[in-house]
Amino acid sequence: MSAFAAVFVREWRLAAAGGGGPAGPAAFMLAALALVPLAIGPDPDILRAAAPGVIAFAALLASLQGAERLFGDDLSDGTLELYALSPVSLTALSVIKAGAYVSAVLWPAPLIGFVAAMAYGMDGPSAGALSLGLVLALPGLALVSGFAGALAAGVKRSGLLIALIAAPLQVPLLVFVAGAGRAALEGTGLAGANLMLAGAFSLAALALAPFGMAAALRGRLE
Amino acid sequence: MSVTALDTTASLGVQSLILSRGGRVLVRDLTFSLKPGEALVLTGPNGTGKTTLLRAIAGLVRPDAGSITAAPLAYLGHGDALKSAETVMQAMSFAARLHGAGDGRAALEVMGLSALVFRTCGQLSAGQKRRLALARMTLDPHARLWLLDEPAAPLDAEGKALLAALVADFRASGGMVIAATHADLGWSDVRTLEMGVSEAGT
Repeated sequence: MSAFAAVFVREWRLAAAGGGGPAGPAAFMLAALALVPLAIGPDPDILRAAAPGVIAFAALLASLQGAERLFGDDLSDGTLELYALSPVSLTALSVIKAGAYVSAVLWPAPLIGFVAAMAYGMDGPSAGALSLGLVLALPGLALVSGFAGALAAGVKRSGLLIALIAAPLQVPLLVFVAGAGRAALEGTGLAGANLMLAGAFSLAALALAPFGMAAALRGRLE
Repeated sequence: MSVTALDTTASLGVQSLILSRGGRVLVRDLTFSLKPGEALVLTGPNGTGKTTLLRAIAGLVRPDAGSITAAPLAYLGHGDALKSAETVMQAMSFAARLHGAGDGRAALEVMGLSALVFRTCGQLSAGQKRRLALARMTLDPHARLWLLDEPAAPLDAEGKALLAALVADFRASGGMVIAATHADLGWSDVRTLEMGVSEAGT
């Protein structure tokens, strides 16, 4: 097994088991989506119209839930030094971390999004478009969260810093995912374009964020 | 110590090194070299730059000036880099796969951890964690230089003896060791560099 694969398998296992794995962000997203209707009232038209935005927003916040743990523990317990001196570069490690975060922790988000969309009164195809948007956006959300997590690793109250760094950078994903759901709901024909933009943002994040994460981690190690 | 012609694959050369931390110069104009089989123990009060020097040699800290030429190395810092959810065996086999070297059982046996393979790292005592971290470090087959930061701090007498034997074996095979420590490690034939006393290394 190559070093890259060995680190991915380990990180996936640690992400899936440590800190509750997918349970934390999933519970957060479910709770948020269950509470919103209580706050804005039972009008089905309002709920249906609000659904794409509310669901995309809940997924964004859920993706920030585990960002603090992505690198914080590794920095304090010496694991990051081990990785920095291992055959796997910090850039590759950043890709691995984000990949493990998506596939072991954030994966329920599109499913929860789909169920919530149906519960909020969206039709099947629209709920599917929204859910697909979340699938395409998750890598981007994870990479941006990871970038913020790397910058804030080892900093006191890093949760606050992560939210302040990541939230503005995740705005395009929020807009495209919600836009895809809303366009499908209203039949404007722009759902496909929004989905492609969400995917494009994730690809751009994949091309850029790992280098930023590696630079941030190197700085935290000094 | 004299600086000899450096064989970069097998030795360590530190030349005119200046290191600072938080604006304070810790190491000024340090020059030394290490040849295969040699061991160097860094001593000195807290805050005199022992850890910083080890981290600089490992490449984790950038020196203010000077050069470091180091053979492939393995580094063990203050932290044991263990995850409490992982079992001892998982931690070892991960490190073995990372370096493409066996499955790590032999190294566990050397450090007296064979009976603990199915324990999670969170259930180990501080000394057992240190032993495990040392065992893991030996799995890198390319490392010719071990950098150890307080390797024996939580170890009992038996652990210290095992560490001394491990280091002696490694040196006999041409490996080099640099350790920062307050405790007497009981290693034979080591050079000592006392940090924070003289401006330059001996």
